[in-house]
Amino acid sequence: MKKIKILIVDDEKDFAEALAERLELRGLEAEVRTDGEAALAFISETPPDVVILDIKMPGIDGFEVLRRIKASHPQLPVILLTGHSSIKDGIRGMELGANDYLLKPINIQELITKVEAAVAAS
Amino acid sequence: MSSVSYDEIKFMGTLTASMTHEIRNVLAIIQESCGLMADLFEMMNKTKQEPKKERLAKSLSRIQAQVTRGIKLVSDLNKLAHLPDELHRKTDLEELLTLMSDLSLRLARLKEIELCLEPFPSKPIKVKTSPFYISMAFYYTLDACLNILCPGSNIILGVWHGKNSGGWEIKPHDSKQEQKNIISEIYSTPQWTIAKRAMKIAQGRARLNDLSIVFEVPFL
Repeated sequence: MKKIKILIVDDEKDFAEALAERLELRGLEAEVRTDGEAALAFISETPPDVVILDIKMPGIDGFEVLRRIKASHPQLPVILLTGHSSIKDGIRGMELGANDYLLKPINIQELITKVEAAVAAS
Repeated sequence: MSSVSYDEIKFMGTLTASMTHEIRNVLAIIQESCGLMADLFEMMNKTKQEPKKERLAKSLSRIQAQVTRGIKLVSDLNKLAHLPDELHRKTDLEELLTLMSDLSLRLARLKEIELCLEPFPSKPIKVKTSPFYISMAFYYTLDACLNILCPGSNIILGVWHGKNSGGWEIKPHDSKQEQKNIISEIYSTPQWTIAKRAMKIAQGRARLNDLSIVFEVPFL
């Protein structure tokens, strides 16, 4: 069975790398990028199956990265990560085309369920 | 006692939100690092192979670093919460500027602007002021600067000492804009009006030079 390829975009490198390792131990492939520009460059070269995207980042923020992904790869599923306690950012992201959102700190099993659902729906 | 307006609430709310967002990031890293260690031990139990020591050591080192980061964030957040304890009190201007710089780092980082603290004078400068309102004046001035400056700029923060007064100096630097234009833009912002009001309550004043923003509090 083909491994699901995930791109994690988060300026908190330690978080992204630890999460990537945990996903790989569960049989998924994970790449890390720590800013929006690098993430968009990666997607244009080797589109993953799903993107896990933090909203608050220096430079172009997660919402802008999401807009650009949806313009260039409309079918690519995106799951947002938010540190905001209210669901406002998550809803705004869904309106911009995100498949789902999660509040940090995350539950890895919940994340994997959402990743699999997003890939199955794409 | 001055009346509290929306400006005061927004100042405290924005900084608290920013700090708690950082604390969430710290907890998220600790959670993933602990989770990774648990995964490695579970794998060891299943496969009867030793987990690679360097992977465990890396996770442990991440946790230690984040605990240190978390303690600093909580300590700064606590100091912020205690600013309004007394309206006016003897205040160490260096200590307070360091706190405000640390509390504002994330807001500046999100705009890709660097905050730089100038070396402090050898002798601490203490004045009787309102730590809450001078900090509020700083926050609104910084907010105006962050909205005007381009990514890649920096803001130099310093403490100054005169004959009869002392205070803070804020110097925004942007290679893409003329200094006098930055200062004149700050002058026309609503944030500057709020900063001037806050400095009056802090028993001082806020003024603009050609190259910098100055907060001044007289010595008693």
